[in-house]
Amino acid sequence: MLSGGNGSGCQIAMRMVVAAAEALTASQLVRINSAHVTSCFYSGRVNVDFAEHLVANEAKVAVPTTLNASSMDFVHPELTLVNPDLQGVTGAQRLRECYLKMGCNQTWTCAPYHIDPKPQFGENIAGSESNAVVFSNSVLGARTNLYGDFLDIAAAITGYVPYAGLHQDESRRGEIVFDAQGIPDSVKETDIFFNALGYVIGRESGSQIPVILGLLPTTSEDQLKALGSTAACAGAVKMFHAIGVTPEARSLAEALQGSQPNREVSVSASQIISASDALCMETHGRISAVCMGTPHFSFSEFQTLIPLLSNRKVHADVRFYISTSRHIIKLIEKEGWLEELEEAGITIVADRCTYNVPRLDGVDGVVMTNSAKWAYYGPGNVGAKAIFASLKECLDSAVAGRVVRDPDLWAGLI
Amino acid sequence: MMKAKVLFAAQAEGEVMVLDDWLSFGGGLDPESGLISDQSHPQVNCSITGKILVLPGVRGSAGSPSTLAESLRLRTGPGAVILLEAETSSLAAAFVAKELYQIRIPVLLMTKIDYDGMRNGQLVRIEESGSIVRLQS
Repeated sequence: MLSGGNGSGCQIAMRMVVAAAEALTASQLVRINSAHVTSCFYSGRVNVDFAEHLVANEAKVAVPTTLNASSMDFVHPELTLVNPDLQGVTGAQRLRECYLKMGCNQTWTCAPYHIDPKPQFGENIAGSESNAVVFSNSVLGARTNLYGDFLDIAAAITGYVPYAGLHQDESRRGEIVFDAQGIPDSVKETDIFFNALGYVIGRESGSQIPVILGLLPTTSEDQLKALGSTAACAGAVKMFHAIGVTPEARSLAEALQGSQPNREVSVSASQIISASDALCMETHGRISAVCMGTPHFSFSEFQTLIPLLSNRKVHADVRFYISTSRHIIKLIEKEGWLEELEEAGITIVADRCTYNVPRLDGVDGVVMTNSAKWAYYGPGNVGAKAIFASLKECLDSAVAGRVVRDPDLWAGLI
Repeated sequence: MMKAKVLFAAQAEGEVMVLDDWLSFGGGLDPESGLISDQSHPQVNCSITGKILVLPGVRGSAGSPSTLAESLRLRTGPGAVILLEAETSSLAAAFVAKELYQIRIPVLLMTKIDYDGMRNGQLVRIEESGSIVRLQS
């Protein structure tokens, strides 16, 4: 590949992968079974220039490759085409053409783990988006570093990554133990807890691998998604272990690979509550939008939401968005839920996140969200004033048009 | 003279800017202006344009390589990146800037001892070999 025998596009990609291997002092490369690519997101002209350069050199992906979210909703372009940022719109369209020409799957989602075939336990893959990386490593037991833009598509084209970091057993050792055994089980059944815990863990861990003690064996993938995505953005967590829940943590000893942790932290009720409060920029008053689905909403999250609608309608002054993948949209359409959501006044957004530009109507005001990740990035990205809340609080507030908090939110904790 | 490990080879000359904390280029650097835009960073609103940027590490954001490469394309980016902890996003950005725009910046990995000796405002020249020479101001 380096000598150009597989074409000049592959040669460019391989030169980059080898440069990365040298930087990481990896003495060999390892084959990957799949890749997930964020380079398809338009953040500037360089993304388009690089993709068109690869296409001009006839680069094709060598492994099944999923695409991360775009800046555009290609399914509902009317949601964003009204925006004056035409450069961003054409940029996103040109990127789409390039990545399709290279043979990528048009998944446009930050939750590729909702789509079969999912990465398998022990498989080496090339991940890129931070929540997808942490989910793949922790929940699926696949192996990846956070490759990021450019290197992700280079890995997909060559089918190789440097054999370093989380591809190696010893780098997957848990380093810092968080003891959540003191938190009541009733609290551990809520989604808001996992967001808040992820924030605490991210802040305390930095890039170390956290090990969590005391989660229920019934902890769901949606809850682990919330935990991981928040820990990845509040810190730089790329993998976590939850004892008795995640596949490389059947016991504390297994997660720690038989050694001692670098540090132990006891998770307290006050830490959880203040983490949740830290993500709220307003306490009361009118709201302009509700955003759910960061990372992309799963089928089971829709399943939980639908009965809670109970024929209520979103207030006329509130925009209610749920972002998800076109794949999940097909599944909920079959259930007849798309109509129900539409009747309730909820807008389904495909292919993208609601906290990026081009900005969606209403998201630059006071935005309520059940995603800590949204509350973390939304203010910087689109100038929103975010309020982090439970799913129920988001729904009640959307109907009322103003902040409605649940007095029993932390009933199990205080 | 100091010698750093070469992650991406190029020559550069300029003024040292030492960051007090890790930076994520994605969401933390405005490529249009070359200013640090991460509101929680101690050097927020400082310009990195043309600087020999010395930093402890790059926070993992999938968008960091694009943002850094875009700043290089727009000539608002740093003249060199010197890291204390190995990572690949600066390297990927430098690779792409050279491949697409023939803009070359070195990316180096420094030992802790040399790193601790770097001071804001020092003038240095970086050779392709990773040699770093202090210049008289």
